[in-house]
Amino acid sequence: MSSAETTERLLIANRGEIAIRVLRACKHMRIETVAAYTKVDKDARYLELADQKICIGERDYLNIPALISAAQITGCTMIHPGYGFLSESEEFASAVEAAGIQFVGPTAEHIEMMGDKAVARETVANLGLSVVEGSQGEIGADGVPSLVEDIGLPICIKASFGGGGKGMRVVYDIGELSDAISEAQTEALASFGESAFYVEKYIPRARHIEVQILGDGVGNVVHMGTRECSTQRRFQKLIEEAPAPGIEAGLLDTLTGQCVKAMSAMKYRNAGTLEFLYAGGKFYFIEMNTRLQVEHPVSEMITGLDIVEAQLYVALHQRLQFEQSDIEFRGSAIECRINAENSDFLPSPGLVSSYIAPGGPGIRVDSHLFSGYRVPHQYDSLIAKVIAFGRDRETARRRLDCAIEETSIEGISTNCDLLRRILATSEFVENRITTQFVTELLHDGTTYKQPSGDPA
Amino acid sequence: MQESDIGEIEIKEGEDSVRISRSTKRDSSASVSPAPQYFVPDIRQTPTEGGSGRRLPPRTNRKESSGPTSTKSGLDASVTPRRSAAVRVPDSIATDVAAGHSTVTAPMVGTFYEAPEPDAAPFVQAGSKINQGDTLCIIESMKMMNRIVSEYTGIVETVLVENASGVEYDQPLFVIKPVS
Repeated sequence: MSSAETTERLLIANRGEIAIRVLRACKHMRIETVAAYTKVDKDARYLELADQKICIGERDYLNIPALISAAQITGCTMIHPGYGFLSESEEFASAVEAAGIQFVGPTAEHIEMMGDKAVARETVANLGLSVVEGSQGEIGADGVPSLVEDIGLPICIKASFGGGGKGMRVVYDIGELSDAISEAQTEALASFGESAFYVEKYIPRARHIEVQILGDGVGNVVHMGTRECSTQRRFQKLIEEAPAPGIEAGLLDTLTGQCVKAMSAMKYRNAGTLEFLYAGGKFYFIEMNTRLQVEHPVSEMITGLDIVEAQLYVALHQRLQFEQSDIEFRGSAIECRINAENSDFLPSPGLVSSYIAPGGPGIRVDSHLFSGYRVPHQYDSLIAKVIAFGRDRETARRRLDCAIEETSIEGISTNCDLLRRILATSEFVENRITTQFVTELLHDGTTYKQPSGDPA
Repeated sequence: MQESDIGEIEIKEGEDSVRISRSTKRDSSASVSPAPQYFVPDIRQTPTEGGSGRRLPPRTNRKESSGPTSTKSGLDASVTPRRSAAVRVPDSIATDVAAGHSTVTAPMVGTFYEAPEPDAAPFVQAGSKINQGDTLCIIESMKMMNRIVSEYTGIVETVLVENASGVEYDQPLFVIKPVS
């Protein structure tokens, strides 16, 4: 531990499980922490683990002036944005740097470039990665019919500044086209303030595969392997694993190699994830996330590395903490996202009267939950991530199933039953999951109320 | 401003800008139970109390370019946030706010200034008579000088914050005895 690390102080500009995750990395690196919090989160217990806490508002974690003022008056030298909220805001990254504070993330320029999905698509295509057939960058509504003639249906209309499934419409029938475009635009405008979109050929039964990379900003880039994240509902990931199973090693090596080369050419800084669809033995780039991701622990489990520590190291030293040859891959890891929601997928906030976390070999729990915690209704429903490591995939799967069974959360509803049900399906066991799987499992795509007597 | 229900007004003139914000008020008479915990979070505990070991020593930012730039206001641009100055709110004050007193709290995170300029007299002091709309203090947030104006007509009982110290959102700044 170099002495430079002992004098740093970092503002955590986030909440919940990722706030405590960042806090833990800072603690063992001897970086002092200041936890920004809102009045809604004033009773969160992780705030007491920080060296200092500072209230930034009623409920808003998107208030850039408040966060920067909070960092300034507490003498912070760094800000970690976590994921979500301002983690991919080039405005925030610029403002942080302008205030003389180190942003633990990429340059504002790279955030902006990758935040515009149409630009991202063109950028990585120019850097040698395959993209799904579709429009050259953004396209106007008038141009779509002729594009459809070229590439055929189905297509996917995607908001340039979209994410999380918002501003996205799949079109199977040309008759649905104009409605789908206006719906996607309306939704994108409401959610992201921009209605621009691009079009991609829709690949229905694909797998979602992603590559974790880490760059130092001057051209050195390593990858930390692949993840499989096809278990999604409405584009929201539920279960993720590393490495991506059942794909020929040579193909994965080629993919990770291409990602490293592209990110090196960009001189990308920070942790980042390149997301791909995998179908017919080929990978197609979808988008890049220029931040830490929710599912980063599975990559940590198979490499024994700490991605947040690696982010902080790059921010502090402008170089990577380790080289590619230092990264060894071992075993398999699977993560379940436990959400506070009922069986109709509606949020289930409220008082957690009792919480008992699982344990045992290979089990990791990232959560801000405690008995007596009140899950607020103002934020997203992720309350815990349970991750299992095993020497092979099946061991990890069984351990994870036991861990979810062990997990006891009373007072609110959770999706634990659904997670266990998915883990037990032959599709999951045999690794035949596509992004459609959960929807098909739920039949009508909305509920998962179990028929009585179902052993799953 | 109160009648119009506007929370803030921002006036920009070239590089300088001044924002006038209504302070958030907490009228203790409207509160059923005094809840000192509610507005006495960790940041305000005195360093000597309890020895929690959670307080950090003062420090400066890596670059010193972050001071106030508003030349018009004349505030000292080299003011270093002093954690140790960050407000003493003895529990007794917080709880004593019960009978007919009101607390003015910070509507934003920032640096508290009691006066328009470093050598000027403070806007208010303990004992000052104030009218609704009078400026109580300035809170600087991201080089923006925000005038905090009073919701009350009355007398300033206590100033809870030291000049040039950092204040968090909702932190009590003044105890005021309103006069109706």
